[in-house]
Amino acid sequence: MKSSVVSKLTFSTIPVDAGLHAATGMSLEDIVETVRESGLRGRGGGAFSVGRKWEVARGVRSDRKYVICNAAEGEPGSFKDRAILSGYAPLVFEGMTIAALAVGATRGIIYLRAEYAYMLGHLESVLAARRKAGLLGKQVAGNPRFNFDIRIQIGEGAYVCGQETALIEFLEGHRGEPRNRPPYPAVSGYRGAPTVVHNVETWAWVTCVMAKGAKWFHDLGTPKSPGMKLFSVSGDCSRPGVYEFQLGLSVAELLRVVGGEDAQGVQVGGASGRMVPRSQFGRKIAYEDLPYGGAVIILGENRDMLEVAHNYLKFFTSESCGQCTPCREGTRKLLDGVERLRNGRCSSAYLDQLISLGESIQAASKCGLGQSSPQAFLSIVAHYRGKLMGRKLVDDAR
Amino acid sequence: MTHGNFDRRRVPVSQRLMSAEATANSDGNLVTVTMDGREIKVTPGTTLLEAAARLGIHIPTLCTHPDLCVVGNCRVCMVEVDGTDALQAACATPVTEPVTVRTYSGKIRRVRRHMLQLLLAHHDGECHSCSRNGACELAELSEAYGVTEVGFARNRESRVFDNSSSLLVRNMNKCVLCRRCVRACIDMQEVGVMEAVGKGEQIEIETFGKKNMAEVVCIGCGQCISHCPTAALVNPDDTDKVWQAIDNPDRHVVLQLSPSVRVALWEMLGMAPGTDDVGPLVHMLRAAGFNAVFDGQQAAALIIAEQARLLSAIICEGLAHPEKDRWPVLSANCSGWVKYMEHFAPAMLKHMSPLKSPEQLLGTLVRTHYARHYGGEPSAVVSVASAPCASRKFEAESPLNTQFGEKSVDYVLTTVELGKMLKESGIGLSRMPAGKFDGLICTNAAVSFTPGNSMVHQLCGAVFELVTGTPISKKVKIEYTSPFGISGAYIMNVPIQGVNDATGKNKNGNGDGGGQKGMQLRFGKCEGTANAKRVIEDIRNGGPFSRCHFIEFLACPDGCFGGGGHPAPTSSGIRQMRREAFPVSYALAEPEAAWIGEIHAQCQNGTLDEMTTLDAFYTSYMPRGKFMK
Repeated sequence: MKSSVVSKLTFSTIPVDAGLHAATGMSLEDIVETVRESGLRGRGGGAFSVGRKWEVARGVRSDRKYVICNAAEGEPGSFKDRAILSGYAPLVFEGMTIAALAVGATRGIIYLRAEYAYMLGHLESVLAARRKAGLLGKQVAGNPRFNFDIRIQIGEGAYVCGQETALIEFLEGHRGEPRNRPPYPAVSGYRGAPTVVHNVETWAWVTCVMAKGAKWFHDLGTPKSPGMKLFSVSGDCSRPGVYEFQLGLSVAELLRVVGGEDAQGVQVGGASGRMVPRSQFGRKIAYEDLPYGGAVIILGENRDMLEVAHNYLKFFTSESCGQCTPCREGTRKLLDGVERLRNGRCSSAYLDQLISLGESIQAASKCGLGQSSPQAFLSIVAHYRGKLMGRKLVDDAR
Repeated sequence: MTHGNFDRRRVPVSQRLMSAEATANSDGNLVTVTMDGREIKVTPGTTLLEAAARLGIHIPTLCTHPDLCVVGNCRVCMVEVDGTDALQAACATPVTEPVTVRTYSGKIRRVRRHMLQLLLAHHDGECHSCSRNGACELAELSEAYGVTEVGFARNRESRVFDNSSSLLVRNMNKCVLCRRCVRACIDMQEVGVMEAVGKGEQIEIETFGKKNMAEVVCIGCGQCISHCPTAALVNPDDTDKVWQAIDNPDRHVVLQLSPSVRVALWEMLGMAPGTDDVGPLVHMLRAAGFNAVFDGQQAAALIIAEQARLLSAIICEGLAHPEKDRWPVLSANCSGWVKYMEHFAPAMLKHMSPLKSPEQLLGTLVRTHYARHYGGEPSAVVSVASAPCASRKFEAESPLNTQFGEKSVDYVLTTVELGKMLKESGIGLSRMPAGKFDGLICTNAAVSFTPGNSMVHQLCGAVFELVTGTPISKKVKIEYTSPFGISGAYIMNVPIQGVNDATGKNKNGNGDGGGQKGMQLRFGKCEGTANAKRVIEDIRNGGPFSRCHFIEFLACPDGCFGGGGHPAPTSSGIRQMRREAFPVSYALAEPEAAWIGEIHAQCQNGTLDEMTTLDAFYTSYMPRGKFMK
């Protein structure tokens, strides 16, 4: 990533501890209300209203509550959380502290993906500095009734642990597998206690919202998708990296900025996202049009879309937790279908059967991961079907 | 929203608190569920599946089992809920607010078929030569929900086949990953032999360290087998060995029919659970080729007689000298439980009753007394036992259970195996005359026992009589207490009006043996190893169970009626029907009681024959620990 790009992020303009300072001056209800008014929604991909989550967790009576930072960032093509953790970790911790104050949590946990373990030293030193400054530990920020501290737990490399209930299962020492919902974590999460789980980026935006006000944030973006969002841009473009845009920009605008105008398609949302063909580059990246987690992958004119689908399905067949039938078995069948297409052995009728199966996987899977696993395949088949079926066969000798 | 109702995630039926049902019904805030246009009001937390059942709407399920906690992973029970795009699993969706649900639609049909097809693609469908042919839940669902072809490419990889153990055969090629076995082993029994290992397409149900079944702490209760929807987990099959013995004219094959088998066997023959018609059954078994059929209960009665003798001596001593009160004696008639103790609490083996299991005792008597007196060559006798679970197979193979270098029981057949033999013999059920059990000791006297309620109740009656000198009657008010509030572990407090004496020879040491108030006999009963774990802990901590004189343990929920060797399906309702097929009585009726007393006395004073003495009643145990090989 280019440092010049990172330095332009809003995060670099937020004064140290301005968010927490603003929060301590408010009533607890007002903190939740501010976050709710800002319209901030989960930046990990689930896009659930942050304020609503806090409201629920705040409303449940319990002597133990938790806030959790999801730093799993397992989505292929996403690297913005890494940039935030290495450059703006205090904002993340501050956001967690604000939430803990508002909902009444005493413990915070960071689930740090195994591949980011190299950042552990850095993150621990930031935590230590905050403890020293009285911003973590006993009587945080001089509030005699507010005790809160954060610990870091390193993951074991499973993509599915990015799903919040699987993450909680992992933190409890179990197999990382999504739970049945309801109850949602805000009601009964880590160890059965109300738990607020957000992605790294969401926590950083919480701090920004508290520092600069709900209106500032709400006026940006679109009415249904307020605010800004980080984009991890990679693939066939001249300026890949981490960008910050207001939500609602079109795919074409984004391509212009990053130098990828020649793309034949853009995968919006990483492996679990969807392929947007050139004919739809006018669509907006916003929750109401193209919902989006964190990764934009640009595919140039020479890319073989079948290989792209193969790559994503291969990923899901090994990263499904294996718990539920559609995600575990269904993605294998889709992958098998792509391999048949590759070998010229997939009839149009069988492809239709696979599309129908893909829709069943979306409808029947237990968690968001499973539900979105066939999305890349379905969108590629929908937009490039002619190209795929009429494709030149791979040399049989190979 | 309360989350009390949701906490059922890892709480199997056997350990649910007794009061949970009561609180669920006392809640006044009901929620309306509209399902297929019909309405029902339910308590918050009720699942859509439960609501459907109450409306009489059938939703197909696979991974869900009434004994086990909910996982919602097969996705067969999907329904449409208004307001959500994705379908919801009926088994795993609690009702928290008014909902409108559809249980059938084109979308649901499509998804359901896809789920079944995907499972079939992962399943080694050699259905015609499968041991669960005709009783496979996956096949039933496929038939019922319109699956006429697999539709997708079959998975090609070959998975684990493990027949290393006498307790269980695993064929993972037939596994559909519903994880009922995992929940039965970890959550219901708390033994923990199997768990899902790996993720994605690599996932499989494996033992710790992927060891062979023979090298893990499996106790052989077979709950995983009777809860498996397919033939991925089955009992080892010894029927061919028994057929071979039957086919050999030089062999004299005897069968002991154990009480729970005689009830559950009817289910293999297509009858409803809870049938008990022992006469025709004995006749059929003889027709199938067994030379003699014994009632397994006579061994149980003998064991109770000897156990009562031992216990009453200890109890009388303890009552006279409370400071010498012993630890409770723990029963050892369940071989699964014995293996559980050998693995998980080897330090407490010294509290195990030294008496053999009924199967082993009867086998020993067959080897010693019967073989010499039945009128043929002693070495020609082949001793076969029927059993509610495969742990008896392990027990029969144990070097601790040999008699003069020979196994007391040559072959053990589970209910499923014995049922298969009956089916294969082609004997029709219609107009079957009533046969009678053979008598073990006097070859001409047919003896048939009235089934007793359970060992602990019969033992209680026998000990009461020995200790007080009067038979137990309905006037004796037995008080039942359940220290953990669960039905699977309780204590019977039996008030006694003083000690007559233990054995008829009046000791009367300090002269005030009689007339003391507040004296009690305390008998414990515990079913299921998860409950047993708590009872053991309670004994160690000096809790109420540590003050029992005797505790009967059975490894399975609902004891032998829930054994893993009985045919699937199983549920608490089915087990209850099996149990209720037996009339309740605390003690054996005459003349069996007199008969047993006589044999017991003959064994005791050595007048039966020189080989059949009380030594034949005793065995020992092997501390195994959790780390094998």
